[in-house]
Amino acid sequence: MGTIIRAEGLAKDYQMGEVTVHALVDASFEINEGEFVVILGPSGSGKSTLLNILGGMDRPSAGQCYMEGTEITAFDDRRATEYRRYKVGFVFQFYNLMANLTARENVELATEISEDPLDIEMIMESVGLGEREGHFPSQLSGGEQQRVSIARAIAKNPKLLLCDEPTGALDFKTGISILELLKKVNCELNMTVVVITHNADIASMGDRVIRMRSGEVIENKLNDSPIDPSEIRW
Amino acid sequence: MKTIDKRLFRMISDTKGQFAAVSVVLAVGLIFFMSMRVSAANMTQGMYSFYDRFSFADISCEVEQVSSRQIRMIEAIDGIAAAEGRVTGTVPLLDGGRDGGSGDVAGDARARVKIVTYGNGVSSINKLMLESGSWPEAGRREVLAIRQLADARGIRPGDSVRLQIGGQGMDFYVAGIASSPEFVYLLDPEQGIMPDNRNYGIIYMDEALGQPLLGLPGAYNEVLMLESPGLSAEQRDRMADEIERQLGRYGSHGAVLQENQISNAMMREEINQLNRMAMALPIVFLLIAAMILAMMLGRMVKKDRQPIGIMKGLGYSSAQVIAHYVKYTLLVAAAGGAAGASLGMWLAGWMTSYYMEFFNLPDLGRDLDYRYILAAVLIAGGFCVVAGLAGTRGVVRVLPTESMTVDSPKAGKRVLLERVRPVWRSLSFSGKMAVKNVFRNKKRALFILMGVTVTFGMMAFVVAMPSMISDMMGDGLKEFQPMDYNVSFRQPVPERVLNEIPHIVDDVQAIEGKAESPFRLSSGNHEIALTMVGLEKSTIFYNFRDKAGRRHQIPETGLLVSDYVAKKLRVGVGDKVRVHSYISDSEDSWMEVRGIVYQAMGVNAYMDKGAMAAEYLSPGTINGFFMNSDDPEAMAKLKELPAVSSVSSLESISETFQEYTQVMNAMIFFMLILSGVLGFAIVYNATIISIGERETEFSSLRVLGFSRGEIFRLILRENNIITVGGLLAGLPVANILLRYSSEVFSTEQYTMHLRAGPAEYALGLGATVVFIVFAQAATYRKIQKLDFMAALKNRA
Repeated sequence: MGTIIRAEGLAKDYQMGEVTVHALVDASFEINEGEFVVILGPSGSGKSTLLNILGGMDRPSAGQCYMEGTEITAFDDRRATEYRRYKVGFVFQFYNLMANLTARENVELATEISEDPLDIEMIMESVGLGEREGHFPSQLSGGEQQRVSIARAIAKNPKLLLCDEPTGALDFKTGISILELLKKVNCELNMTVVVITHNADIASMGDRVIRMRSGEVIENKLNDSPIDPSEIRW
Repeated sequence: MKTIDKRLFRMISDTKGQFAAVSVVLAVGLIFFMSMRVSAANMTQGMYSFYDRFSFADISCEVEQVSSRQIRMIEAIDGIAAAEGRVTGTVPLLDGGRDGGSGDVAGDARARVKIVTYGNGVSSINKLMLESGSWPEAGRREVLAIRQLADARGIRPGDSVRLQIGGQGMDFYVAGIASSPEFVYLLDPEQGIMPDNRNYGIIYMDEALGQPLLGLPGAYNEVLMLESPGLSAEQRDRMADEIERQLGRYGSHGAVLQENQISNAMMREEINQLNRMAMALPIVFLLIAAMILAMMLGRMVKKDRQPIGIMKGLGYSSAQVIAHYVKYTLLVAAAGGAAGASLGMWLAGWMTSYYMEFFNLPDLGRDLDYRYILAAVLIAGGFCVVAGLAGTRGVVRVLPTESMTVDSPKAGKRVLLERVRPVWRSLSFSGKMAVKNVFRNKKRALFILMGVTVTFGMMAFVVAMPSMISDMMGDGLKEFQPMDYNVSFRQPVPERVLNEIPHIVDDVQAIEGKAESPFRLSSGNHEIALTMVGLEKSTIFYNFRDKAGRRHQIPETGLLVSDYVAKKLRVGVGDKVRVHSYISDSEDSWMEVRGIVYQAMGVNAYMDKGAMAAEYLSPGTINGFFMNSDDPEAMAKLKELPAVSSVSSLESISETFQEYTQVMNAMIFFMLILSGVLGFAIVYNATIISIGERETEFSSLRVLGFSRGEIFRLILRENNIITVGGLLAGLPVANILLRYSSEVFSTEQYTMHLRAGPAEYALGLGATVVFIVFAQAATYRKIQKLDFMAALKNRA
């Protein structure tokens, strides 16, 4: 398993009036291809900032980040767009679906712009929405909407799937089913999945757990025995 | 400043582009309103005070000859307060003014003046306003020149003018420059609807000097009358009948009431047009500004659910929150209102001066009427408050708790086009998305569609205006009356006189006699005074066509009438009209309307020349002719003939047309810009609102890997679908606008026939598209500045 992500001394400062906020401080770590990574930390620990940098949506104030050996932190706007388009998939806490497109069309939206998309039927079936693909977001439950969001992210066949609190807006049972789906994507499609969460219980399912506090990576450890999502309780 | 008001100013700062765009639309509406309304009021005031102070005649009547004694009898008619006689006659102006001698030959050759006498001592009707110089001294060959002529030719007191009277050149000393209420709009009756002050003017002289010169010693050929105040309509009718009966004996050409007097009629028509436009145009702009505002506010309230919830949670009432947002619209009203009212006032001042100059109205002082400013403020405030209330009604529905939760997705629906499977399948995915987005917010789509429609309609209307003018004075006139010269004699002459003309003028290619005489046509209660033209059946100098383009020939019996005449008399082909000659003693007769022909300028009826001469002149006579000739001296040669009273040439009308075209082009450019501002504001604001509403959606697309350009193209595609719809809808709208305007703006002097062909539509379309492209390009900045991370994070 080769290294897919290498972060070296990443830092991000925000200027809030006269105060400088250090959202990210000297974060360095590596993520291997095919790993299920959980980035764990309380609110304000810098995990979202880190995810944005990994996703090519934001630039660090210092440090570099490489994906498959290419420095993504040096990308200009055009290359960052290409990176997001071909290499990364995003799943958000609040799904961010297009209200006037059906579930399937939301997924098609992503495949339209990818170079090597996955088969839509297969995706819809695998996320358990084969029967509901013609429904609009307003006709779907929160869990179903998050499944569409995951389907949309993976349909582009990205190397890396970044998930920002994917269960944050869901009840326990639905949250577990989403984690199961993400695990399935990780195993069956061999995608590297990075989940950021403040829920410590989820960490137990990760191959790698990166803990953050006050913008710093305080722990980066491999989990020898990750548990199945169905065993998680919170 | 209250904190809530600080928030208001920050809201304005965040939306400054939209705030400015909607304020500009509002300001343009008010500029139209103020400038037109105020200049119309100024002109009305100026006109009536000029009329009052200089006793503009209520009735005037041209006659063959009438004596002082007979005028005193007219004065005795019940309802007449005063009557005066004067002598008028049109003569060639051979030379005069500092620029007079150096002008081109054709210009000088066609120059004429109307000599108008004033009474010994002081005239009490149509008094003259001496603008510079002094009154002519009795017993000397001294005259006054009308201001328009003096300005155009550079004539100053102390100069002299040379007139041709009775075949002789005579010099007159210009003692002064004067104005008169009857010639504020100075029009050569032979030459059309535009003043040509260099070649037509008025020379005033004492009647003791004028009477013998014009061959009427001790007599008059025109009677001016003032009515007694407070006459009822019935008394007026009786009085008019009596005047016509009495003056009929002296060869009356028909009494002309003040409202029909040409200068006054043109003036009133201009004021009416201004007033009509002062209502119609601003309403379009104000309504659109209000709609944009309502949409903006609706969007703001929706976006601000959380802050509204917080405010309500803190204890603000719905009314207070609504007031907070309505203040936004009031500030738009203040900005747009202040700009609109002040620019409108400034423009009104400029327009009034321009009109006063154009109509030769002396500036007798004008008051700044603050009521119009108040009206503008109230109109702007009213429209904005209503728009604000309409846009913020959603505030009431926001509950403090509800506002803290995340929006559930809007219900998605299939669009109608999806049911048309073959069409839907043929669309690309992004095409499908664009169509779906168009139908997502139908109201907004409809608003943009309407904006594009109105803009296109206005553009097509504006670019069609030159074709209308060309119709009246340019190519249209040449096609309708393909003649080089139109010549009138002082008296009817035997037709054989025409045989002499080729001996006087070289290179005569065609010549035809005409009979022309004033008539009154009536049908039921409707009547119209006009000039009847008698022509040869197979005349080559007129091309008669009806609106459908079918050719018409002069009938053996009966009349051809212009479409305006038919409309005024409410008659159709086959109907009979009563025909009354003003100069012949023959009994009224009934004639059949055999055809209705399209005529852009003037009001006429046409009949067979032979029949007309036999019935109303003397058999075998004519009183003028039409001629085509390449002789460059033709005009001068014809004017030298003592029997000729006037010569007009198509060339001179075309020259006036060229001058007018320049003014027209400036106006068209101005109107195009204003129409464009409207289209720009609508498309810009609606698109910005749309982008604002879909910030999260576009941010998701950015995260998915869409570039800014691709998102912008997505919006463009949506707007393009609506724009195409708007342009298609704009075609019939433009057509309706053209027809409506043709109807509204047609007058007795000219029939407007606004029409747009493929070229006008293409031009209107091109101009519309240019402004829409500008508007869309301006929205690209918003996409550039889209902070997609913030949009995605700030959901809870």
